[in-house]
Amino acid sequence: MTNTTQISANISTETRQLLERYVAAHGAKKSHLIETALLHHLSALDAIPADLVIPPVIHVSRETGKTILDRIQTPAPPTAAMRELFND
Amino acid sequence: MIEIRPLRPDDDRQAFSSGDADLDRFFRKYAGQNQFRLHIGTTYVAVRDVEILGFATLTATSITIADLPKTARKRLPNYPLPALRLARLAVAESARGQGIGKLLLRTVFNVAHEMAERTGCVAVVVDAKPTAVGFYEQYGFGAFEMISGELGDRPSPIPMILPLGSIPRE
Repeated sequence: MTNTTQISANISTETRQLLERYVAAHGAKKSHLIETALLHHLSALDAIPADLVIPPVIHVSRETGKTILDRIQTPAPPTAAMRELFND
Repeated sequence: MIEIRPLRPDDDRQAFSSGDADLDRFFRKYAGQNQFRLHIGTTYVAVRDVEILGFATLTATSITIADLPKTARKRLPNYPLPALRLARLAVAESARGQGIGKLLLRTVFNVAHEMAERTGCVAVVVDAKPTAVGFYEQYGFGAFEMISGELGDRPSPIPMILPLGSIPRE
Protein backbone atom coordinates (compact mmCIF):
# COMPACT_ATOMS: atom_id res chain seq x y z
CA MET A 1 0.00 0.00 0.00
CA THR A 2 1.19 3.49 -0.82
CA ASN A 3 2.22 5.56 2.17
CA THR A 4 -0.35 8.19 3.06
CA THR A 5 -0.04 11.56 4.65
CA GLN A 6 -2.46 14.18 5.88
CA ILE A 7 -3.02 17.67 4.50
CA SER A 8 -5.20 20.47 5.77
CA ALA A 9 -6.74 23.15 3.59
CA ASN A 10 -9.23 25.99 3.95
CA ILE A 11 -11.89 25.77 1.24
CA SER A 12 -15.09 27.71 0.63
CA THR A 13 -18.30 26.62 2.31
CA GLU A 14 -19.85 26.12 -1.12
CA THR A 15 -17.09 23.75 -2.24
CA ARG A 16 -17.40 21.81 0.99
CA GLN A 17 -21.15 21.50 0.48
CA LEU A 18 -20.56 20.18 -3.06
CA LEU A 19 -18.06 17.69 -1.68
CA GLU A 20 -20.41 16.49 1.08
CA ARG A 21 -23.30 16.20 -1.37
CA TYR A 22 -21.21 14.17 -3.82
CA VAL A 23 -19.86 11.68 -1.28
CA ALA A 24 -23.31 11.25 0.25
CA ALA A 25 -24.85 10.58 -3.15
CA HIS A 26 -22.15 8.26 -4.46
CA GLY A 27 -20.91 6.61 -1.31
CA ALA A 28 -17.36 7.70 -2.14
CA LYS A 29 -14.66 8.44 0.41
CA LYS A 30 -13.81 12.11 0.74
CA SER A 31 -10.09 11.40 0.74
CA HIS A 32 -10.35 9.37 -2.47
CA LEU A 33 -12.41 12.07 -4.20
CA ILE A 34 -10.03 14.85 -3.14
CA GLU A 35 -6.93 12.93 -4.21
CA THR A 36 -8.47 11.98 -7.57
CA ALA A 37 -9.56 15.57 -8.24
CA LEU A 38 -6.14 16.85 -7.28
CA LEU A 39 -4.40 14.41 -9.60
CA HIS A 40 -6.74 15.34 -12.46
CA HIS A 41 -6.01 19.01 -11.88
CA LEU A 42 -2.25 18.52 -11.72
CA SER A 43 -2.45 16.40 -14.86
CA ALA A 44 -4.30 19.21 -16.65
CA LEU A 45 -1.65 21.69 -15.51
CA ASP A 46 0.97 19.40 -17.00
CA ALA A 47 -0.91 19.21 -20.28
CA ILE A 48 -1.67 22.90 -20.54
CA PRO A 49 0.59 25.72 -19.33
CA ALA A 50 -0.73 27.36 -16.18
CA ASP A 51 -1.22 30.71 -17.91
CA LEU A 52 -3.59 29.06 -20.39
CA VAL A 53 -5.71 27.11 -17.93
CA ILE A 54 -9.30 28.35 -17.66
CA PRO A 55 -10.32 28.12 -13.98
CA PRO A 56 -13.67 26.30 -13.64
CA VAL A 57 -15.00 28.46 -10.83
CA ILE A 58 -15.26 32.22 -10.42
CA HIS A 59 -15.39 33.54 -6.86
CA VAL A 60 -16.83 36.98 -6.22
CA SER A 61 -17.36 39.05 -3.11
CA ARG A 62 -20.72 39.43 -1.45
CA GLU A 63 -21.03 42.99 -2.77
CA THR A 64 -20.15 42.01 -6.35
CA GLY A 65 -22.41 38.99 -6.04
CA LYS A 66 -25.35 41.15 -5.04
CA THR A 67 -24.80 43.39 -8.07
CA ILE A 68 -24.62 40.33 -10.33
CA LEU A 69 -27.77 38.82 -8.81
CA ASP A 70 -29.64 42.09 -9.29
CA ARG A 71 -28.56 42.24 -12.92
CA ILE A 72 -29.60 38.62 -13.51
CA GLN A 73 -32.97 39.06 -11.84
CA THR A 74 -33.74 42.33 -13.58
CA PRO A 75 -31.87 42.15 -16.86
CA ALA A 76 -31.54 45.27 -18.93
CA PRO A 77 -33.24 45.11 -22.32
CA PRO A 78 -30.96 44.18 -25.24
CA THR A 79 -28.82 47.10 -26.37
CA ALA A 80 -29.10 48.60 -29.84
CA ALA A 81 -25.93 46.77 -30.90
CA MET A 82 -27.35 43.52 -29.58
CA ARG A 83 -30.61 43.98 -31.46
CA GLU A 84 -28.68 44.79 -34.61
CA LEU A 85 -26.52 41.68 -34.12
CA PHE A 86 -29.59 39.45 -34.15
CA ASN A 87 -31.31 41.33 -36.98
CA ASP A 88 -28.41 40.92 -39.42
CA MET B 1 -19.65 31.83 -47.37
CA ILE B 2 -18.50 31.87 -43.75
CA GLU B 3 -19.40 28.92 -41.53
CA ILE B 4 -19.31 28.96 -37.74
CA ARG B 5 -18.85 25.51 -36.22
CA PRO B 6 -16.95 23.64 -33.51
CA LEU B 7 -13.26 23.04 -34.17
CA ARG B 8 -12.45 19.72 -35.85
CA PRO B 9 -9.32 17.64 -35.29
CA ASP B 10 -8.28 18.00 -38.93
CA ASP B 11 -8.64 21.80 -39.07
CA ASP B 12 -5.36 23.49 -40.00
CA ARG B 13 -4.67 25.74 -37.02
CA GLN B 14 -1.02 26.43 -37.75
CA ALA B 15 -1.71 29.09 -40.39
CA PHE B 16 -3.90 31.15 -38.07
CA SER B 17 -2.46 34.50 -37.01
CA SER B 18 -4.36 37.15 -35.06
CA GLY B 19 -1.27 39.18 -34.29
CA ASP B 20 -1.60 38.35 -30.56
CA ALA B 21 1.15 35.86 -29.70
CA ASP B 22 -0.64 34.42 -26.65
CA LEU B 23 -3.94 33.85 -28.41
CA ASP B 24 -2.18 32.32 -31.41
CA ARG B 25 -0.12 30.04 -29.16
CA PHE B 26 -3.24 28.88 -27.35
CA PHE B 27 -5.13 28.23 -30.58
CA ARG B 28 -2.34 26.46 -32.45
CA LYS B 29 -1.03 24.30 -29.62
CA TYR B 30 -3.71 23.83 -26.99
CA ALA B 31 -7.24 24.46 -28.31
CA GLY B 32 -7.25 20.94 -29.79
CA GLN B 33 -6.30 19.04 -26.66
CA ASN B 34 -8.56 21.30 -24.58
CA GLN B 35 -11.44 20.07 -26.66
CA PHE B 36 -10.64 16.58 -27.92
CA ARG B 37 -8.58 15.09 -25.10
CA LEU B 38 -9.28 16.99 -21.90
CA HIS B 39 -12.86 18.05 -22.71
CA ILE B 40 -12.53 21.25 -20.72
CA GLY B 41 -13.56 23.72 -23.39
CA THR B 42 -14.98 23.94 -26.88
CA THR B 43 -13.59 26.21 -29.55
CA TYR B 44 -15.87 27.52 -32.28
CA VAL B 45 -14.21 28.58 -35.51
CA ALA B 46 -15.26 30.88 -38.33
CA VAL B 47 -14.23 29.16 -41.55
CA ARG B 48 -14.24 30.16 -45.21
CA ASP B 49 -13.42 27.15 -47.40
CA VAL B 50 -10.66 25.68 -45.24
CA GLU B 51 -9.25 28.95 -43.93
CA ILE B 52 -9.87 29.72 -40.25
CA LEU B 53 -10.80 33.37 -39.90
CA GLY B 54 -11.42 33.49 -36.16
CA PHE B 55 -12.13 31.47 -33.07
CA ALA B 56 -13.96 31.64 -29.75
CA THR B 57 -13.21 29.27 -26.88
CA LEU B 58 -16.05 28.52 -24.48
CA THR B 59 -16.29 26.65 -21.23
CA ALA B 60 -18.95 26.09 -18.63
CA THR B 61 -18.23 27.92 -15.42
CA SER B 62 -19.90 28.66 -12.12
CA ILE B 63 -19.96 31.81 -10.06
CA THR B 64 -19.80 31.44 -6.32
CA ILE B 65 -20.64 34.32 -4.05
CA ALA B 66 -18.87 34.65 -0.75
CA ASP B 67 -21.37 34.81 2.09
CA LEU B 68 -24.53 35.22 0.01
CA PRO B 69 -26.82 37.91 1.51
CA LYS B 70 -29.90 36.57 3.34
CA THR B 71 -32.23 38.57 1.12
CA ALA B 72 -30.67 36.98 -1.96
CA ARG B 73 -30.88 33.49 -0.46
CA LYS B 74 -34.65 33.80 -0.53
CA ARG B 75 -34.59 34.63 -4.21
CA LEU B 76 -31.89 32.25 -5.41
CA PRO B 77 -30.64 28.90 -4.16
CA ASN B 78 -27.41 29.10 -2.24
CA TYR B 79 -25.22 27.28 -4.70
CA PRO B 80 -22.98 28.34 -7.57
CA LEU B 81 -24.59 30.14 -10.50
CA PRO B 82 -23.99 28.35 -13.81
CA ALA B 83 -22.68 30.51 -16.62
CA LEU B 84 -20.99 30.28 -20.00
CA ARG B 85 -17.46 31.66 -20.11
CA LEU B 86 -16.04 33.15 -23.28
CA ALA B 87 -12.41 32.73 -22.39
CA ARG B 88 -10.75 33.63 -25.66
CA LEU B 89 -11.80 35.22 -28.93
CA ALA B 90 -9.55 36.23 -31.81
CA VAL B 91 -9.90 37.21 -35.45
CA ALA B 92 -7.23 36.58 -38.06
CA GLU B 93 -5.37 39.71 -39.13
CA SER B 94 -6.31 38.89 -42.72
CA ALA B 95 -10.03 38.86 -41.85
CA ARG B 96 -10.34 42.09 -39.86
CA GLY B 97 -13.31 44.33 -40.63
CA GLN B 98 -15.47 41.52 -42.00
CA GLY B 99 -17.68 41.12 -38.93
CA ILE B 100 -16.08 37.82 -37.89
CA GLY B 101 -15.99 38.82 -34.21
CA LYS B 102 -19.71 39.62 -34.33
CA LEU B 103 -20.53 36.30 -35.99
CA LEU B 104 -18.61 34.45 -33.30
CA LEU B 105 -20.25 36.48 -30.54
CA ARG B 106 -23.70 35.70 -31.88
CA THR B 107 -22.81 32.01 -31.83
CA VAL B 108 -21.67 32.37 -28.22
CA PHE B 109 -25.02 33.92 -27.29
CA ASN B 110 -26.91 31.11 -29.02
CA VAL B 111 -24.82 28.51 -27.17
CA ALA B 112 -25.67 30.28 -23.88
CA HIS B 113 -29.39 29.90 -24.59
CA GLU B 114 -28.88 26.23 -25.52
CA MET B 115 -26.94 25.70 -22.31
CA ALA B 116 -29.72 27.38 -20.32
CA GLU B 117 -32.25 24.95 -21.75
CA ARG B 118 -30.13 21.86 -21.29
CA THR B 119 -28.14 22.31 -18.11
CA GLY B 120 -28.73 25.84 -16.82
CA CYS B 121 -27.04 29.16 -17.52
CA VAL B 122 -27.77 32.57 -16.05
CA ALA B 123 -25.19 34.71 -17.82
CA VAL B 124 -22.27 34.96 -20.23
CA VAL B 125 -18.91 35.88 -18.71
CA VAL B 126 -16.12 37.18 -20.92
CA ASP B 127 -12.45 37.68 -20.13
CA ALA B 128 -12.01 40.80 -22.22
CA LYS B 129 -8.68 42.07 -23.42
CA PRO B 130 -8.37 45.65 -22.12
CA THR B 131 -8.55 46.89 -25.70
CA ALA B 132 -11.81 45.00 -26.32
CA VAL B 133 -13.79 46.32 -23.34
CA GLY B 134 -15.64 48.84 -25.51
CA PHE B 135 -16.60 46.11 -27.99
CA TYR B 136 -18.29 44.08 -25.25
CA GLU B 137 -19.83 47.09 -23.49
CA GLN B 138 -21.89 47.92 -26.55
CA TYR B 139 -23.64 44.55 -26.14
CA GLY B 140 -24.44 45.23 -22.50
CA PHE B 141 -21.55 43.48 -20.75
CA GLY B 142 -20.51 45.12 -17.49
CA ALA B 143 -17.19 44.73 -15.70
CA PHE B 144 -17.02 43.00 -12.33
CA GLU B 145 -14.31 42.01 -9.86
CA MET B 146 -13.28 38.44 -9.11
CA ILE B 147 -11.75 37.22 -5.88
CA SER B 148 -10.33 34.28 -7.80
CA GLY B 149 -10.80 32.50 -11.11
CA GLU B 150 -8.98 34.94 -13.37
CA LEU B 151 -7.18 33.82 -16.50
CA GLY B 152 -3.40 34.01 -16.40
CA ASP B 153 -3.20 36.07 -19.60
CA ARG B 154 -1.10 39.22 -19.76
CA PRO B 155 -2.16 41.97 -19.78
CA SER B 156 -4.77 40.81 -17.29
CA PRO B 157 -8.20 40.45 -18.89
CA ILE B 158 -11.15 42.46 -17.57
CA PRO B 159 -13.93 40.12 -16.39
CA MET B 160 -17.32 41.21 -17.76
CA ILE B 161 -20.77 39.71 -17.41
CA LEU B 162 -24.02 39.84 -19.36
CA PRO B 163 -27.24 38.31 -17.96
CA LEU B 164 -28.94 35.79 -20.22
CA GLY B 165 -32.10 37.89 -20.03
CA SER B 166 -30.35 40.67 -21.96
CA ILE B 167 -29.68 38.36 -24.91
CA PRO B 168 -32.40 37.88 -27.53
CA ARG B 169 -33.29 34.37 -28.61
CA GLU B 170 -32.65 33.55 -32.24
